[in-house]
Amino acid sequence: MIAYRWYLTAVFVLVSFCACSLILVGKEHLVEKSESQCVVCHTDVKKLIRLGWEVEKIRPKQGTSAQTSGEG
Amino acid sequence: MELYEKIYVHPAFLKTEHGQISCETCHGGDPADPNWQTAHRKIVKDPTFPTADEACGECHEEITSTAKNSLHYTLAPFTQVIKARANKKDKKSLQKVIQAKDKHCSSCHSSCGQCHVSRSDYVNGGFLAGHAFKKKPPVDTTCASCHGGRVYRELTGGNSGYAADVHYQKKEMSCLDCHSAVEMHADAKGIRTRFELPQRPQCKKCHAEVVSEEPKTKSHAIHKDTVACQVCHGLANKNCFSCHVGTDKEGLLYYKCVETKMGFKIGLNPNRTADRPAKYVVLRHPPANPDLFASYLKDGLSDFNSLPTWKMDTPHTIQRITPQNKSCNNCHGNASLFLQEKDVSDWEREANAKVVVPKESLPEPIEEVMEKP
Repeated sequence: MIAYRWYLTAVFVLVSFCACSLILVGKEHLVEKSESQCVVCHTDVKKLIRLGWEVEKIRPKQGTSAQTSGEG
Repeated sequence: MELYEKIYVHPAFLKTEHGQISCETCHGGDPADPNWQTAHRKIVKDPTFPTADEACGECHEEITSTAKNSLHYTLAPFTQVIKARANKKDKKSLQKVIQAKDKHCSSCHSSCGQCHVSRSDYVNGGFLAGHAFKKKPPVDTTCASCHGGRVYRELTGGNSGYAADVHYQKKEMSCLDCHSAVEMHADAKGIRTRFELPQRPQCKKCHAEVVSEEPKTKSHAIHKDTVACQVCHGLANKNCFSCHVGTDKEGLLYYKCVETKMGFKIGLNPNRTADRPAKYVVLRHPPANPDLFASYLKDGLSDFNSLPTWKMDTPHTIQRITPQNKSCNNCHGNASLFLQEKDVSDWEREANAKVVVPKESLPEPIEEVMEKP
């Protein structure tokens, strides 16, 4: 009887472990899947700096008008 | 700020509640496209303006339902003031004035995102902290970016020779200590000026013993319904004179403000109400003049005199003791404190007829009867 109980406990622990692992792996997979290009680029400073240079070539920074004077 | 600083998303943001929402849900664009140029087609920079309901309203409906009509969101009083002064008989002229207003004045609005996520468009944006949502916006980068020229500088003592407001100096109070979220998000439909907003800051909220039916201090008892708090407790505020706006040859918007100076003028309250009964209030000259939009059209503001150019103000320069309240006769008999006809340019006499203090309304010198404040 005791051996049977040990057997049941061991099976339960094994099944729980497998289930948890599957959930965690699945979650990781989901996170990877949800990594969009927006995230890839906008969380990478180096990429953004390079992108900034490209943007400036296409759309130069708008300065302040030389005619502006006094406090705004 | 460099572009990369403005748009850098801190990885920690992705672990927050808002960070769990996919980028394209709010901003559009194509998250699968590795080419940034095509990926950004149809991108929405600020998904919270002009429709706060869509991005924020789904979860924060109770806030967006009123915030979308708030003063910061709509700038409705700006439009009302410009329209009141505009030439309304000529529809084309009115249309041009509205266009100029939209071009030059409307960028000052704020949205949910432009307080809680980024700086305002007026200062070319940029995340406050890697796209993190700040429930309490940092005032030095949000409020101060638009109100830094006058109010914030007054509050923090940024004007050379003038002390910081006592609330800031002694109690370390900042914008949000008086201007609560309730006020910021309040529905301002039908409100003509910020002074009419029921949720506005009021001295009596903290100083109930002073602004009561029977104040303990004699000077408060004598002046309570006649003089606004700031008249006795305000220092000089910043006044701007003669502002013109336009677009230069390169298409850049410009403004020219001819004169800015610190000063302190008391005037008559042009709109005494039960809520604001004071006869005397502090005034400020905003950058307004009939030629404001002259580079776009002539006589666009032909009804300019319908509103005063010396506006009722609540300066953020409060002190317990001020030059005018040190003794009774620092104010009584001191005509220089009051806006008189000689202080007003010829072209703005008519506009300010209701706020200029006539000789008979200047308080005469009296015997010192009060205790020291």
